[in-house]
Amino acid sequence: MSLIEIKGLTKEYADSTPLKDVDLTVNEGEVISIIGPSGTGKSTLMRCINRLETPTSGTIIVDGTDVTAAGADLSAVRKKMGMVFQQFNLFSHKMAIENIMMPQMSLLGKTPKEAYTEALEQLRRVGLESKARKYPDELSGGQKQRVAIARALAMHPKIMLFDEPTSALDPTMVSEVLSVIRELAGTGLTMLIVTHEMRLARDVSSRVLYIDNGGICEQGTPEQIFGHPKEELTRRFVFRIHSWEYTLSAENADVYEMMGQLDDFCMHRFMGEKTATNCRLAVEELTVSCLLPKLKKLGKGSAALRLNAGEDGGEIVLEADYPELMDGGDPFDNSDNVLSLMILGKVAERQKTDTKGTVRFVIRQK
Amino acid sequence: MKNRPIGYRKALSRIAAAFMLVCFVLTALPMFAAAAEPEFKTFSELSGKTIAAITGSPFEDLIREHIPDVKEVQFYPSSPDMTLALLDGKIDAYFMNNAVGELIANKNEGIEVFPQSLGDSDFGIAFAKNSPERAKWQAAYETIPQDTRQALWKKWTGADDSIKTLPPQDWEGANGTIKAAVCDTLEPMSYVGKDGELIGFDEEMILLIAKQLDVKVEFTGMEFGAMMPEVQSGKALIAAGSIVVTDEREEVVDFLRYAPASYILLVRSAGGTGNSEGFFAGLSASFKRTFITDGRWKLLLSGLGVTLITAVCSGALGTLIGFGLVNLRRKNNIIGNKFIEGYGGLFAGLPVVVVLMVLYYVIFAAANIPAMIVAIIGFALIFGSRSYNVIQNALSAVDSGQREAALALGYTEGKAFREVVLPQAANVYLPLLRAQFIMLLKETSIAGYITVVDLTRAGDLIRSRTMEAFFPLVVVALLYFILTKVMSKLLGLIDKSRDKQRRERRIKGVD
Repeated sequence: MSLIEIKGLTKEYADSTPLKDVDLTVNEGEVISIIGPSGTGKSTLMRCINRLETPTSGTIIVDGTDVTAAGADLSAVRKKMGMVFQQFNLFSHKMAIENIMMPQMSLLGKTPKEAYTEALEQLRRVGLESKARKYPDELSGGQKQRVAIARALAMHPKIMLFDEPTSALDPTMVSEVLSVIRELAGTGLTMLIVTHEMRLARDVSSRVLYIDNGGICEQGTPEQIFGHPKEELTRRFVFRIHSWEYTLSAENADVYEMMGQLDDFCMHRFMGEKTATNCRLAVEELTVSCLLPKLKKLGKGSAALRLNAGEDGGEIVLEADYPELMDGGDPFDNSDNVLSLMILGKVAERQKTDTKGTVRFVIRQK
Repeated sequence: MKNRPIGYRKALSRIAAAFMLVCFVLTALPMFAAAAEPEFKTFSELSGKTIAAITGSPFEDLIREHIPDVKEVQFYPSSPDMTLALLDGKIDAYFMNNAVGELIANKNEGIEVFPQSLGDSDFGIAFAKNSPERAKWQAAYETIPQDTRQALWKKWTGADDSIKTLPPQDWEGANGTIKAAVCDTLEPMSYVGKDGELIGFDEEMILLIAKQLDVKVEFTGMEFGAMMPEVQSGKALIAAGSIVVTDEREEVVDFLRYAPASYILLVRSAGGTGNSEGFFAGLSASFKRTFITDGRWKLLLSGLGVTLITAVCSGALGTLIGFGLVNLRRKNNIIGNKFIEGYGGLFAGLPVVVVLMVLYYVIFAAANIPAMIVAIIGFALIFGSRSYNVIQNALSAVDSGQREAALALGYTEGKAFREVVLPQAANVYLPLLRAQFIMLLKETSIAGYITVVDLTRAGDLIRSRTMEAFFPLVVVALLYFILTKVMSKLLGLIDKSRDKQRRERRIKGVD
């Protein structure tokens, strides 16, 4: 049974369109992680679902109520959806336990005693029973976020929305919040989690959405998204691939500039000295011995170089595209540069070459 | 002994003591004058000197006619102010009519009547231009025998204060009650007597005429300059209080002439340096004059009450207005926003005293509303605009995430505002409102402009009787000081109880 049904959701601002024609169905019991680069509409999607933002167009039906309809009882719908914010947003004038009691009394009509019992129970659940009578400014970031989760849970929502719950936390406090969320994910509660914590997304989700360019770019099980992403954008994001690119042409063949930019890239990617040297040698031999002479000979055309490096010591790939230089034979099939090809072979492994003018090397890192 | 820093209380009491000492010394200064010849005897001696007249009097030309190269003509709101200025040397002479002037010279050591007169006229009761009532009153006045009029003059200009009381209004009053605006600082013509009632030659003359007409009279005391507007705006039928008839005044009001008057100048005594009373004797005499004589402490006390009530009522009302405007702002509709903008702009752009006078003399001119209520309304309107700004700023200081968190839980906008946002803004706006209120308390001192007898005005009235300015002023200053301190402390209790609540960490309905 679907709890949330989103059709054609678009949100436009004066200067940007974070969401373009998004469709999404969330079924009961699903735990959905939403990942993607910053500023691509993940938070906007969440805020549209409980109508903190008003969509430009489209419909959102939550548990049978169209929240985009004029005159919808938002208060009633929101009571069914707990929301956890990046900035916690605990009511700063109330103690932790009062933060949890207040909405129960104001919105559910519970007596103070009933609310207190419930609040204490929820605090116990997030492991903060002992901090019940602390004010928010006396709690650490992680503790505040756990109280905020308890506050939402005390309303017994059908859906929990987490909007980057750990982004504002010190690295040391992230895990205490993550373990609470992990615990929750196991209870069968329907959850939507916008997060940058890939491990959380991989471990707890039943479905992962990759959002980019204003829409759902790819979705699937964690194994699909993190193991075998289909889309290039997803792959780059998931493997955290960064690229260095340079284009050589007959008019502009500034090798010094090119090598300078490459050095910067290697430094910023924290490559080891050996790896960086290999990258340099590979690029240098490829251009100086193969591509530049051909460029000079033809007096026209261009060649594109790209170095892709993933984080966490993944493979580093050097690619070159030079279809315009195929005139009169592949520049690699040239007996003048045997020495260069030898060096190139030492620092990188040539993977595949086709006859259309591309070449691909995997840089050796040891 | 340990060398400890002086505590807050101790420092405060030292400052207060030093303040009192300075005040006493200043108070005693006017006592160092003795009876003697006037400092100036001819008009030519007054060349290049500064001469004062009461605000609202048209005598500058007359003064310049007699003393062509006078340095400057200044205007003061009341005779005691001029007396003080004269003794201080800020002015060298001041213009007065004979009745008031001679009494001031008699009662005040160090002040003499300048021997040459500047001209003659009559004292007059003012009516609005072309008022049909004037003829009736003139006719009734004619029926009063000459002997009675002269006896009256003798009674009020004489030295015996014990007989200076008004007869009771024991006639029927079949023809209704009229309002009379009278000046309350010009003894013996019109001033405040024992227990704060208005008495004087003018009041008794008016009552004599009123008896003939069988109407009752309700006197309202005010500064000299405020009387004419009262008659012109129709708030009062007649104005009196040592008003001398001049051509200029006759252009705006009609007069009933009831006694001859002449213009004189008051000047300092020549070279008087003897100390007749001594420092402490002088002090005790001042104290007695200011507080004990005629039960004047009652006047101060009632003035204090009026100040307090005006401030508290307008403060409370103004805060309500402020919250009302905040509520209106939250609705965020065009008309409401424009109204708030206009309201705030209006009161930000007008001096408080002007607001009060416009309310009193223009907007409520016809309405029969006591001046104090008008003052409360005026101050409340002004405080409303200020408290709105304070609360609105405090609200915008509350993080927007607080409202969002409440909404996300299912609070409605209204509930989120009342239960989450407003209580947090209170930490900011309460102390600011408190400071604004203390400012308001002090600002009410201008209520005297619209005839309210508040603490400041009570001090003025006492000064007009004792003919000395320092001691009553110091007393008034001290009373304001104490009043603001006490109110500040009281309002501070709110913060304290909030703090205590926070510290105690008690949960309502559970502990």
